Amino acid sequence: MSAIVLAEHLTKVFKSRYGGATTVAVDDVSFVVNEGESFGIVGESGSGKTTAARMMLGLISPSAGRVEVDGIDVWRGEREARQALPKIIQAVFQDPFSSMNPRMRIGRIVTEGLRGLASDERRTEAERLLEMVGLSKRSVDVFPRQLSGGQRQRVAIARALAMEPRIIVADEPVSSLDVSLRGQILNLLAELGDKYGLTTVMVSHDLGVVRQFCSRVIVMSKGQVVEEGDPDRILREPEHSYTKSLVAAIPRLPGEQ
Amino acid sequence: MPLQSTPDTAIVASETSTIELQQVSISARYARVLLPLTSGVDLRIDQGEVVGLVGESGSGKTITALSAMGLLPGGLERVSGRVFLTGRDMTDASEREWNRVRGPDVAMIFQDPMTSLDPCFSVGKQIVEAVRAHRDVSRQAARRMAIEVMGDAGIPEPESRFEAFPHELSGGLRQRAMIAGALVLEPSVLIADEPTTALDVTTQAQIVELVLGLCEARSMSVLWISHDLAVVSGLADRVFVMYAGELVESGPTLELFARPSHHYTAGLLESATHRPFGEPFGFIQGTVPETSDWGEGCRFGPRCPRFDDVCTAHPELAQTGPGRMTRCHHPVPEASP
Repeated sequence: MSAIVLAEHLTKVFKSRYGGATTVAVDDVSFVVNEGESFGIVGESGSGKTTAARMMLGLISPSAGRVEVDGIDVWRGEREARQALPKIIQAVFQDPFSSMNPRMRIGRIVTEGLRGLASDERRTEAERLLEMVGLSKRSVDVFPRQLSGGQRQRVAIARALAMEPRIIVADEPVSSLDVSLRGQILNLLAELGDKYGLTTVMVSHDLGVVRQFCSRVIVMSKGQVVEEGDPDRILREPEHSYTKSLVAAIPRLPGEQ
Repeated sequence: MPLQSTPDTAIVASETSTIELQQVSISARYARVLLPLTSGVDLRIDQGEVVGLVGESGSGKTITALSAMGLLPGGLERVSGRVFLTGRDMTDASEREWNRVRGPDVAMIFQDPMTSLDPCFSVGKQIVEAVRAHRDVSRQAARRMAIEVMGDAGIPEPESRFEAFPHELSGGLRQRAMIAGALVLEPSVLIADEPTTALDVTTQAQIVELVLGLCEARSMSVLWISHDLAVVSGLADRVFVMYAGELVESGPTLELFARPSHHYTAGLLESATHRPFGEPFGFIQGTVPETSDWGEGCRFGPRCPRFDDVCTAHPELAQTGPGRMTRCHHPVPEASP
C-alpha cells in the first residue's frame, strides 16, 4: 500500500478580523491515507476535522505544516502540478444545495469542471454520470430546487466523479438526510469506490457510520488527533477519555452493543 | 367508567391523558382546494408517560404535534377530529383559551432554538416574560424562578447567563435556555420536536438525559418526535410510527423494536442498525410520497417489499396484540424463536 495523502504537522490558526483573539483550529496534525482505503476523520463540531479536510482539498491554507496529495504539495508545489489536483481529489459536502448554483441546470452542474466539450457531448456525458449515481437521464434539465435532499447528494457525487478523481473527500455526506435514506447514499459511495478503486476520506461526527464505512480512522478533539486505528477496536475499547465519551454517547437500538 | 370508550365513538377524553388526539386530520388550503396532510390520527399520552413519534421528514409528525398546541401555521387547518389537553376539550378553543394553556399545560421545544428565542431580548428576560404572562408574581420572584430553572436545565452560572442574548450562547446552551423557558411553568406535557438533531452526539446524550431527568422529577409527560429510532428507543415507553400522514404502527417500545409488524418500521430499524465494517448499509427504497401521490391503496405500497394486489385497498389500523396496532395487509411474520 502506498500513501496517497500525506499530512505533516498541519496547523491552522484563525485570527479574528479585528486582531486580538486567535483560534487554533488544527494543531500539529499528521496522518497518512493509503491508496484505495476508506479513511475516516471523526470528531465533534469544532474539533477541526473539516478544517483539516479543507487544507487537504486546497480550500484553506495551513498556517504551518504541509499536505501532499499524490506526491504534489497542495500549497507549495509547482503551479502546473497543483493545477492537476482537481483531477486527483474531489469533494462531496454536507449540504449539496449550498454548493450548487440555483440557476444552473443539473446537467451543467455535473459537467462544469470538464473543458472542451461540444454541447451534445456535454449532455451525453451528464446523462452517463447521472445514471451512474442512480438518477434518471431526465434529471439533466431540472434545477437543484426540484430535487430532494437525497437526489441532490447523488448529483454532488456525480459532479465529483466527472473529473475521474482518485480520491473523494466526503464531509458529513449524509448528516442532512433522513436515517432511512442515508444507507442509499453511503452504499452508493462504497460501490463506486470499489468499482473505480477510489480512495475515500469520510469526515463525520458519527462513529457508527464511520465504523461501517472506514477501515481506519483518526479521532480529533480540540484540533488534535487523540486516537487512531481500526474503528472496530476504537468502538470496543476506546483509549482516550474523549473517545470514550464519544463512544458512550452513540445512540443504540435495544440489544445493540 | 361509562364515559371511556373506543376512540371513534368517544367525545370525552380519558381521565389519565395529558394529550389526546382523536381522528385528527389536517389539510393545507390552496385557494379553494384542500390538500390533505394527515388523516385520522389517534394519539394519546398518559400522565408521566414518555411517548416517541417517529417517521421520515414529510410524514406529518410535526404538524400533528403543532395541532396539539393549537399552533398550526397559517394555511393549515384541522378539518376533522378532536383535541383534548389534560382532559379539557380544546377542539374549538379560541386563541385566548389556547394562550392560557400554552406554558402551564403544554410546552414545546424545537430543533432550532432560534425558532422560539427572540434575538432581541436576553434569555432571562424571555423566561421572565413567560412566567409573568401566566402567574401573578413580582419581577424579582419571576427572575428567581428563571434563574432556578436555568440552573436545573444545566446552564452553568445562571445568574450571569440570565443577561446573555441568544447569539452569545453556544448551540448546546441555547438548547438548554429554550428548555428552561419551556419548563419554567411546569407544564403537564412537553412536546420535543427533534431537539437534538442538530447537536453533536455527546451534547445529544446530555440533552436527552436532562429532559428525561426533569420530566421524572416533575412527573411530566413527553412527546418526543424524531426520525432517529436509536434515540427514541433509549427514552420512550411507547412509540407511534407515522408515514405519509397517517399512523402505521404503535406499541410498547421494546416490543415494537424487537418485533416490528409494519414493513415501514422494519425498514426504519434496518436503516438505523449499525453493522461491522464493509457490510452494506440498510435503507428504505425510494422517498416519502407527495400528498398528491398517496393513491387509493397502502401509502407505503410503492416502497414495500411485500406489496401485492391486496395492497391496492387502503389498510385500516388494526390491533395485532396487547397495546399494538398495525396498518398492514401483510404484517411482518414473527421471527421463529
